[in-house]
Amino acid sequence: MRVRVKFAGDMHKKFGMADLWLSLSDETTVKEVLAKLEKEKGIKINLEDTSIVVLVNGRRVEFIGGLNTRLKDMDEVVVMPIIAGG
Amino acid sequence: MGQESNSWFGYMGQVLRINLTNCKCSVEPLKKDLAENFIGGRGFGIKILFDEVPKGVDPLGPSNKLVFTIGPLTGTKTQSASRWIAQFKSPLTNAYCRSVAGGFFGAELKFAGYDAIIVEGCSEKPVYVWINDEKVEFRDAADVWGMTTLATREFLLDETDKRARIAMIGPAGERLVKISAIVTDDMRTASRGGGGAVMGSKNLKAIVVKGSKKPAIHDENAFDDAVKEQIEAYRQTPALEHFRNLGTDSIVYLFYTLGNFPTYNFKQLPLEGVHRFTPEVLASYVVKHNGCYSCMIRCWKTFKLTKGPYAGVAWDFPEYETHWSYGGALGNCNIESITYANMLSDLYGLDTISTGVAIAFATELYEKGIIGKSETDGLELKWGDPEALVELVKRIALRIGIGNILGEGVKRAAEAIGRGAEKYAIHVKGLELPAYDPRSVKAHGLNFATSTIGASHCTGWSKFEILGIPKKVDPLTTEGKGEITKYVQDETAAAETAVFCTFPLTNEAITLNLYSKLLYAATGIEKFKDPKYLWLVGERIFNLEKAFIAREGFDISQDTMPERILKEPVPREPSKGQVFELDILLRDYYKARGWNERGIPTKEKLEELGLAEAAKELGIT
Repeated sequence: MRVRVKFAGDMHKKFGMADLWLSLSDETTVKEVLAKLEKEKGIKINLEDTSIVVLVNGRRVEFIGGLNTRLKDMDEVVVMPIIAGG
Repeated sequence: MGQESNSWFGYMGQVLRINLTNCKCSVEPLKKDLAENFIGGRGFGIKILFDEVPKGVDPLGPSNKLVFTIGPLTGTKTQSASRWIAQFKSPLTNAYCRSVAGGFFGAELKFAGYDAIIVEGCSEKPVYVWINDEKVEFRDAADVWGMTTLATREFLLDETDKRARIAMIGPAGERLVKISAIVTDDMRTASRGGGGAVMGSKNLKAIVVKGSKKPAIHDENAFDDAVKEQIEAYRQTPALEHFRNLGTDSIVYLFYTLGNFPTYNFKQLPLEGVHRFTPEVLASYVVKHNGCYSCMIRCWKTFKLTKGPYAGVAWDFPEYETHWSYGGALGNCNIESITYANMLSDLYGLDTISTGVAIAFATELYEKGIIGKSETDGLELKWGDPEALVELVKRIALRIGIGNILGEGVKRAAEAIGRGAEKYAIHVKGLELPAYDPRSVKAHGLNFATSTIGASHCTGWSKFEILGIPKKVDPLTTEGKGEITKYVQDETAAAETAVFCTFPLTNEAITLNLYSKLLYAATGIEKFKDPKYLWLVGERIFNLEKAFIAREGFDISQDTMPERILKEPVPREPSKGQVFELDILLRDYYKARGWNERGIPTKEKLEELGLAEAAKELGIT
């Protein structure tokens, strides 16, 4: 399956790219995707940092099953900073 | 004690009362119990209004009062504590209003020697008040009446002192437009609730202030340590770095992704051209960074326009809210037109949130055939039209044609138009909703429903749901949202006694623990040593505000939401299918508040908060 990972906001600048496509085996978890990003692309997402969120199809991953959430073909994973404001 | 032989620490110890009916002013000593029980800022304002503006006063009559307040940390080296608040009975909602702005006006007011200004009465002719330390003059404003804020600033600084600071109105406030703002010399706006119209009704064009004093600090060493702790907390908060780079515009695209940033008058359809709101695009317009008095965040940005019909403009950028109200809410992704309309709003003195919602309302009425070209003087209204936006901002500010109706706010406009228009009027208690969808963040929405001023995002920002601090909470569930809403509302009310900015507060770079340290070191008032006391004062303030509007007849029937929010499921991800579950949420909230089922504070609750007098006044037994 193929999954799109987007880096929004300052993440775009930080990682030097807006998005990338990953070819994965079926039912890969979010955790495995993050590990793959770190190992293959050198992109380390620090989930301890409360100013960063990971979304799967627009929903924060912690509210839909956490890092063990299994992805489907054509899912979209967004990594972005989250701050108060407005 | 904070008071030694009439000298105060932190505070200046004086309240300036300005009576416009007889053009007289008086200086009243700050009362010790007012300082101890309400701390400052928002606390002072509501206490004064509750005591001095009885039930049923005409918001645009001489008996309404307009209170300008600052806090005990304003004008010190504390970071982000020099905002100021305008508090009044709102002509837009007939409820209470607290409207906050930044800039340098608040600090200057402190330097002039005052903790608050109470404006009362009504002048026969346009005036402005020139406060130069203890010297207060009422001056003829005939020349500047009718001018934009920018022109007024140039004239009044010439006539007074080049280094003076100003809070003023533009043509919208003069025309009593009910969504008009109070604007500072540095174009910061106290915009919600129609404070501009209150000044206009009093024939008060501006307050110009210059001061030469400094507040004394009770314990300089402890105060320095607390400020250092605050600065370190700012450095440790990555979110504030985003703010430094792009201010509130950092979040436009991100919040759209999270299901906020409602589109097309809250229809919430996917927004065509939303990529124009990504930080990369918005950052390309920034040519200058600036900030409020004593604030290292520096979140103000200047946008320069180089393309299209508005090229040549360089102006204070549209904030997150305005990119939404003049952008997403209208299906308009043309940044140039949003920036230009934002500039016009500053010049005329308009609340961009309410103005944008009013334009979105009119656009949907036009789309549905409820109004037509005969009502719009030939103007075609359609989604995503930059020119209609700019034209309607002018018409609202100057009360021209349909602008005359829209400037009354969407609630009254819907009543005037009839024909089912109410269904598309997006407001709570008459105050237009800001750039969040209550269906996508339930506690945040619950704050809109229950805020004492109507749908304000500034009185209880749900950091639990949006940021996940201090605890991660699913924004789409209803459980426990009453307690969360109470928490953020009380915390904000406490912080606005300072008057702290809510950006570092909601990002938790400022906490009430830190505030307590700063406050005790600055004032020496023993009670302020305990952060729990600050939480109590926050709850006290919120309940007194509630008592003010309960006295005016507000109850559960106005703690509600527009029909669209209650009944129409959100059509786009991530909140697809969601509605706002008002009844469940309200019940939970009233319980957390200790209020009765009608949403009114009980006698026990008011007494517990030291507000027995308010219970008596309301006849609550």
